[in-house]
Amino acid sequence: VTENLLNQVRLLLGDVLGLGARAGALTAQTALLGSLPELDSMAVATILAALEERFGIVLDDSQISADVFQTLGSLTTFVQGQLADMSAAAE
Amino acid sequence: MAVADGFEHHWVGDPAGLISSWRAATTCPTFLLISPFAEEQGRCRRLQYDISAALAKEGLNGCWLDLPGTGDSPLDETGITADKWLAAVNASVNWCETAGRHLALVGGLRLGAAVAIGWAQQQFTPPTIAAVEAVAGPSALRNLLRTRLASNGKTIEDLLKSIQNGETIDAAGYPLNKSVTDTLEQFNLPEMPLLGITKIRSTLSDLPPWFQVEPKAATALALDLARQLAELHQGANQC
Repeated sequence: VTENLLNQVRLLLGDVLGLGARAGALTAQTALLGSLPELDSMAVATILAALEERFGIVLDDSQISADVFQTLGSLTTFVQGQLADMSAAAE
Repeated sequence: MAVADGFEHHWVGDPAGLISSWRAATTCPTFLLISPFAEEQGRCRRLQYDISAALAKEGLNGCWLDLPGTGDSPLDETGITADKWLAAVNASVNWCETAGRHLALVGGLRLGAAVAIGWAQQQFTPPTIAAVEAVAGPSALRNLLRTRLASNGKTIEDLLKSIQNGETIDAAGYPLNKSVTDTLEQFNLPEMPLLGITKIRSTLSDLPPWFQVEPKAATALALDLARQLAELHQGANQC
Protein backbone atom coordinates (compact mmCIF):
# COMPACT_ATOMS: atom_id res chain seq x y z
CA VAL A 1 0.00 0.00 0.00
CA THR A 2 1.14 3.56 -0.52
CA GLU A 3 2.50 5.51 2.42
CA ASN A 4 0.11 8.35 1.63
CA LEU A 5 -2.97 6.14 1.86
CA LEU A 6 -1.63 4.44 5.00
CA ASN A 7 -1.22 7.84 6.58
CA GLN A 8 -4.74 8.92 5.63
CA VAL A 9 -6.24 5.76 7.13
CA ARG A 10 -4.04 6.18 10.23
CA LEU A 11 -5.28 9.75 10.72
CA LEU A 12 -8.89 8.77 10.23
CA LEU A 13 -8.54 5.87 12.66
CA GLY A 14 -7.01 8.21 15.21
CA ASP A 15 -9.83 10.73 14.79
CA VAL A 16 -12.65 8.17 14.98
CA LEU A 17 -11.21 6.40 18.01
CA GLY A 18 -9.86 9.53 19.70
CA LEU A 19 -6.37 8.08 19.92
CA GLY A 20 -4.65 11.46 20.11
CA ALA A 21 -0.85 11.21 19.98
CA ARG A 22 -1.06 7.40 20.00
CA ALA A 23 -2.26 7.50 16.39
CA GLY A 24 1.20 8.61 15.26
CA ALA A 25 2.71 5.39 16.59
CA LEU A 26 0.46 3.14 14.50
CA THR A 27 2.34 1.27 11.78
CA ALA A 28 1.13 -1.06 9.05
CA GLN A 29 1.90 -3.96 11.39
CA THR A 30 0.01 -2.58 14.40
CA ALA A 31 -2.68 -5.01 15.48
CA LEU A 32 -6.16 -3.45 15.64
CA LEU A 33 -9.09 -5.78 16.43
CA GLY A 34 -8.54 -7.33 19.83
CA SER A 35 -5.60 -5.06 20.60
CA LEU A 36 -7.05 -1.55 20.58
CA PRO A 37 -9.57 -1.35 23.44
CA GLU A 38 -11.38 1.51 21.68
CA LEU A 39 -12.13 -0.70 18.67
CA ASP A 40 -15.45 -2.30 19.57
CA SER A 41 -18.17 -3.32 17.11
CA MET A 42 -19.71 0.15 16.98
CA ALA A 43 -16.29 1.66 16.35
CA VAL A 44 -15.78 -0.77 13.46
CA ALA A 45 -19.07 0.34 11.89
CA THR A 46 -18.17 3.98 12.46
CA ILE A 47 -14.77 3.57 10.81
CA LEU A 48 -16.41 1.97 7.76
CA ALA A 49 -18.90 4.83 7.49
CA ALA A 50 -16.15 7.43 7.94
CA LEU A 51 -14.00 5.74 5.27
CA GLU A 52 -16.92 5.91 2.83
CA GLU A 53 -17.42 9.58 3.59
CA ARG A 54 -13.74 10.52 3.48
CA PHE A 55 -12.89 8.65 0.26
CA GLY A 56 -16.27 9.01 -1.46
CA ILE A 57 -16.69 5.26 -1.87
CA VAL A 58 -19.36 2.68 -1.11
CA LEU A 59 -17.71 -0.28 0.57
CA ASP A 60 -18.65 -3.78 -0.46
CA ASP A 61 -20.07 -5.29 2.72
CA SER A 62 -19.56 -8.82 1.41
CA GLN A 63 -15.80 -8.27 1.63
CA ILE A 64 -15.82 -7.03 5.21
CA SER A 65 -14.62 -9.50 7.81
CA ALA A 66 -12.55 -9.53 10.98
CA ASP A 67 -9.46 -10.06 8.79
CA VAL A 68 -9.86 -6.55 7.37
CA PHE A 69 -9.38 -5.10 10.85
CA GLN A 70 -6.44 -7.30 11.81
CA THR A 71 -3.81 -4.57 11.33
CA LEU A 72 -3.62 -1.02 10.05
CA GLY A 73 -1.95 -2.46 6.95
CA SER A 74 -4.80 -4.92 6.27
CA LEU A 75 -7.36 -2.14 6.68
CA THR A 76 -5.44 0.10 4.29
CA THR A 77 -5.10 -2.73 1.77
CA PHE A 78 -8.87 -3.19 1.93
CA VAL A 79 -9.44 0.53 1.28
CA GLN A 80 -6.95 0.48 -1.59
CA GLY A 81 -8.80 -2.47 -3.15
CA GLN A 82 -12.14 -0.70 -2.81
CA LEU A 83 -10.72 2.46 -4.38
CA ALA A 84 -9.31 0.40 -7.27
CA ASP A 85 -12.66 -1.35 -7.76
CA MET A 86 -14.39 2.02 -7.83
CA SER A 87 -12.07 3.50 -10.46
CA ALA A 88 -12.31 0.31 -12.57
CA ALA A 89 -16.10 0.54 -12.44
CA ALA A 90 -15.97 4.20 -13.47
CA GLU A 91 -13.93 3.43 -16.61
CA MET B 1 -30.73 38.90 24.42
CA ALA B 2 -28.88 36.40 26.58
CA VAL B 3 -27.94 33.24 24.78
CA ALA B 4 -26.41 31.12 27.50
CA ASP B 5 -29.61 29.90 29.10
CA GLY B 6 -29.73 26.52 27.39
CA PHE B 7 -32.74 24.42 26.51
CA GLU B 8 -36.24 24.15 27.93
CA HIS B 9 -38.07 20.91 27.19
CA HIS B 10 -41.63 20.12 26.06
CA TRP B 11 -43.33 16.78 25.51
CA VAL B 12 -45.44 16.99 22.38
CA GLY B 13 -47.80 14.51 20.68
CA ASP B 14 -48.83 10.91 21.35
CA PRO B 15 -46.53 8.98 21.23
CA ALA B 16 -44.59 11.90 22.54
CA GLY B 17 -41.55 13.49 21.03
CA LEU B 18 -39.32 15.68 23.14
CA ILE B 19 -38.77 19.23 21.95
CA SER B 20 -35.74 21.07 23.27
CA SER B 21 -36.23 24.78 22.68
CA TRP B 22 -33.61 27.47 23.32
CA ARG B 23 -34.92 29.14 26.47
CA ALA B 24 -33.72 32.65 25.67
CA ALA B 25 -35.04 32.60 22.11
CA THR B 26 -38.65 31.46 22.52
CA THR B 27 -40.00 34.61 20.86
CA CYS B 28 -37.63 34.32 17.90
CA PRO B 29 -38.46 32.67 14.57
CA THR B 30 -38.31 28.92 15.20
CA PHE B 31 -36.24 26.37 13.31
CA LEU B 32 -37.70 22.95 14.14
CA LEU B 33 -34.85 20.48 13.66
CA ILE B 34 -35.13 16.70 13.94
CA SER B 35 -32.36 14.95 15.87
CA PRO B 36 -30.17 12.15 14.50
CA PHE B 37 -30.83 8.48 15.25
CA ALA B 38 -29.33 5.79 17.49
CA GLU B 39 -25.59 6.07 18.23
CA GLU B 40 -25.25 9.27 16.19
CA GLN B 41 -27.83 10.97 18.38
CA GLY B 42 -25.69 10.68 21.48
CA ARG B 43 -22.59 11.78 19.60
CA CYS B 44 -24.33 14.89 18.25
CA ARG B 45 -25.86 16.22 21.49
CA ARG B 46 -23.11 18.75 22.08
CA LEU B 47 -23.17 19.80 18.42
CA GLN B 48 -26.94 20.32 18.54
CA TYR B 49 -26.59 22.47 21.64
CA ASP B 50 -23.87 24.54 19.99
CA ILE B 51 -25.93 24.98 16.82
CA SER B 52 -28.88 26.29 18.85
CA ALA B 53 -26.61 28.63 20.78
CA ALA B 54 -25.20 29.97 17.51
CA LEU B 55 -28.68 30.36 16.00
CA ALA B 56 -29.81 32.29 19.08
CA LYS B 57 -27.05 34.79 18.42
CA GLU B 58 -28.66 35.29 14.99
CA GLY B 59 -32.05 35.86 16.64
CA LEU B 60 -33.34 32.38 15.78
CA ASN B 61 -34.70 29.60 17.97
CA GLY B 62 -33.14 26.24 17.13
CA CYS B 63 -35.60 23.65 18.51
CA TRP B 64 -34.61 19.99 18.44
CA LEU B 65 -37.13 17.16 18.24
CA ASP B 66 -36.27 13.68 19.53
CA LEU B 67 -38.55 11.38 17.57
CA PRO B 68 -40.60 8.86 19.60
CA GLY B 69 -38.45 5.85 20.48
CA THR B 70 -35.20 7.75 20.07
CA GLY B 71 -33.02 9.74 22.43
CA ASP B 72 -35.01 10.91 25.42
CA SER B 73 -38.43 10.27 23.86
CA PRO B 74 -40.14 7.16 25.21
CA LEU B 75 -41.54 4.44 22.96
CA ASP B 76 -40.73 0.78 22.84
CA GLU B 77 -38.71 0.07 19.69
CA THR B 78 -41.40 -2.41 18.63
CA GLY B 79 -43.72 0.58 18.33
CA ILE B 80 -41.57 2.67 15.99
CA THR B 81 -43.21 3.30 12.61
CA ALA B 82 -42.69 5.90 9.90
CA ASP B 83 -46.26 7.12 10.46
CA LYS B 84 -45.60 7.72 14.15
CA TRP B 85 -42.44 9.66 13.36
CA LEU B 86 -44.21 11.80 10.78
CA ALA B 87 -47.11 12.32 13.21
CA ALA B 88 -44.58 13.51 15.79
CA VAL B 89 -43.27 16.09 13.32
CA ASN B 90 -46.85 17.21 12.63
CA ALA B 91 -47.55 17.46 16.35
CA SER B 92 -44.41 19.54 16.82
CA VAL B 93 -45.35 21.88 13.98
CA ASN B 94 -48.83 22.26 15.50
CA TRP B 95 -47.29 22.85 18.92
CA CYS B 96 -45.26 25.72 17.47
CA GLU B 97 -48.49 27.34 16.27
CA THR B 98 -50.43 26.83 19.50
CA ALA B 99 -47.48 27.94 21.61
CA GLY B 100 -47.27 31.15 19.63
CA ARG B 101 -43.94 30.30 18.03
CA HIS B 102 -43.28 31.53 14.53
CA LEU B 103 -42.21 28.42 12.61
CA ALA B 104 -39.73 29.57 9.97
CA LEU B 105 -38.07 26.30 8.93
CA VAL B 106 -38.27 22.54 9.40
CA GLY B 107 -35.12 20.48 9.05
CA GLY B 108 -33.02 17.77 10.53
CA LEU B 109 -29.53 16.52 11.15
CA ARG B 110 -28.31 13.18 9.67
CA LEU B 111 -31.29 10.77 9.68
CA GLY B 112 -33.45 13.58 11.03
CA ALA B 113 -32.91 15.33 7.71
CA ALA B 114 -34.32 12.35 5.81
CA VAL B 115 -37.37 12.36 8.09
CA ALA B 116 -37.82 16.11 7.52
CA ILE B 117 -37.80 15.53 3.75
CA GLY B 118 -40.28 12.67 4.15
CA TRP B 119 -42.55 14.97 6.15
CA ALA B 120 -42.24 17.81 3.61
CA GLN B 121 -43.28 15.50 0.79
CA GLN B 122 -46.62 14.99 2.55
CA GLN B 123 -47.38 18.71 2.90
CA PHE B 124 -49.31 20.85 0.44
CA THR B 125 -47.34 23.96 1.35
CA PRO B 126 -44.27 22.95 3.36
CA PRO B 127 -42.15 25.62 4.98
CA THR B 128 -38.47 25.97 4.08
CA ILE B 129 -36.81 22.58 4.58
CA ALA B 130 -33.15 22.13 5.54
CA ALA B 131 -31.43 18.76 5.27
CA VAL B 132 -28.25 19.05 7.32
CA GLU B 133 -25.53 16.48 6.60
CA ALA B 134 -28.31 14.10 5.61
CA VAL B 135 -28.01 10.33 5.70
CA ALA B 136 -30.69 8.10 4.22
CA GLY B 137 -32.52 5.58 6.37
CA PRO B 138 -31.16 2.53 4.50
CA SER B 139 -27.59 3.82 4.97
CA ALA B 140 -28.17 4.41 8.67
CA LEU B 141 -29.57 0.88 8.95
CA ARG B 142 -26.60 -0.60 7.08
CA ASN B 143 -24.18 1.18 9.41
CA LEU B 144 -25.94 -0.28 12.43
CA LEU B 145 -25.97 -3.78 10.95
CA ARG B 146 -22.26 -3.53 10.22
CA THR B 147 -21.62 -3.76 13.96
CA ARG B 148 -22.40 -7.46 13.50
CA LEU B 149 -20.32 -8.10 10.40
CA ALA B 150 -16.88 -8.53 11.89
CA SER B 151 -18.08 -10.85 14.62
CA ASN B 152 -20.41 -13.53 13.29
CA GLY B 153 -19.70 -13.95 9.59
CA LYS B 154 -23.25 -13.15 8.51
CA THR B 155 -23.92 -10.79 5.63
CA ILE B 156 -26.13 -7.72 5.77
CA GLU B 157 -28.69 -9.66 3.72
CA ASP B 158 -28.62 -12.56 6.24
CA LEU B 159 -29.19 -10.14 9.10
CA LEU B 160 -32.04 -8.37 7.32
CA LYS B 161 -33.65 -11.72 6.52
CA SER B 162 -33.49 -12.73 10.19
CA ILE B 163 -35.10 -9.45 11.20
CA GLN B 164 -37.86 -9.84 8.61
CA ASN B 165 -38.51 -13.30 10.09
CA GLY B 166 -39.22 -11.73 13.46
CA GLU B 167 -35.81 -11.83 15.11
CA THR B 168 -34.52 -8.83 17.06
CA ILE B 169 -30.84 -8.18 16.47
CA ASP B 170 -28.73 -6.28 18.93
CA ALA B 171 -26.62 -3.76 17.07
CA ALA B 172 -24.11 -2.56 19.65
CA GLY B 173 -26.83 -2.18 22.25
CA TYR B 174 -29.53 -0.92 19.89
CA PRO B 175 -32.31 -3.46 19.27
CA LEU B 176 -33.15 -3.72 15.59
CA ASN B 177 -36.47 -5.38 14.81
CA LYS B 178 -38.79 -5.45 11.81
CA SER B 179 -40.60 -2.30 12.91
CA VAL B 180 -37.39 -0.26 13.16
CA THR B 181 -35.86 -1.56 9.93
CA ASP B 182 -39.10 -1.06 7.96
CA THR B 183 -39.23 2.51 9.26
CA LEU B 184 -35.63 3.28 8.34
CA GLU B 185 -36.06 1.79 4.85
CA GLN B 186 -38.82 4.32 4.15
CA PHE B 187 -36.73 7.45 4.64
CA ASN B 188 -34.72 7.75 1.46
CA LEU B 189 -33.09 10.90 0.18
CA PRO B 190 -34.34 12.18 -3.18
CA GLU B 191 -31.65 11.97 -5.86
CA MET B 192 -32.88 15.06 -7.62
CA PRO B 193 -33.03 18.43 -5.88
CA LEU B 194 -36.54 19.18 -4.68
CA LEU B 195 -38.11 22.59 -4.65
CA GLY B 196 -37.92 24.20 -1.23
CA ILE B 197 -35.44 21.68 0.18
CA THR B 198 -31.90 22.84 0.83
CA LYS B 199 -29.12 20.38 1.51
CA ILE B 200 -26.54 21.72 3.92
CA ARG B 201 -23.06 20.25 4.23
CA SER B 202 -20.00 21.63 5.90
CA THR B 203 -16.80 21.98 3.93
CA LEU B 204 -14.66 21.78 7.06
CA SER B 205 -12.17 18.94 6.90
CA ASP B 206 -12.32 17.88 10.56
CA LEU B 207 -14.05 14.58 11.19
CA PRO B 208 -17.59 15.42 12.38
CA PRO B 209 -18.72 14.20 15.82
CA TRP B 210 -21.08 11.52 14.46
CA PHE B 211 -17.98 9.70 13.22
CA GLN B 212 -16.18 9.99 16.55
CA VAL B 213 -16.54 7.27 19.18
CA GLU B 214 -15.85 9.85 21.89
CA PRO B 215 -16.83 13.09 20.18
CA LYS B 216 -14.89 16.23 20.86
CA ALA B 217 -16.40 19.71 20.83
CA ALA B 218 -17.06 20.80 17.26
CA THR B 219 -17.56 24.52 17.69
CA ALA B 220 -16.37 25.45 14.21
CA LEU B 221 -18.73 22.92 12.65
CA ALA B 222 -21.65 24.18 14.75
CA LEU B 223 -20.95 27.76 13.68
CA ASP B 224 -20.65 26.76 10.03
CA LEU B 225 -23.90 24.77 10.00
CA ALA B 226 -25.76 27.45 12.01
CA ARG B 227 -24.55 30.12 9.59
CA GLN B 228 -25.79 28.14 6.60
CA LEU B 229 -29.12 27.52 8.35
CA ALA B 230 -29.53 31.18 9.30
CA GLU B 231 -28.96 32.19 5.68
CA LEU B 232 -32.14 30.31 4.76
CA HIS B 233 -34.24 32.62 6.89
CA GLN B 234 -35.36 35.81 5.29
CA GLY B 235 -36.85 38.63 7.25
CA ALA B 236 -36.11 40.61 10.34
CA ASN B 237 -34.85 38.67 13.31
CA GLN B 238 -36.52 40.76 15.96
CA CYS B 239 -37.29 38.92 19.16
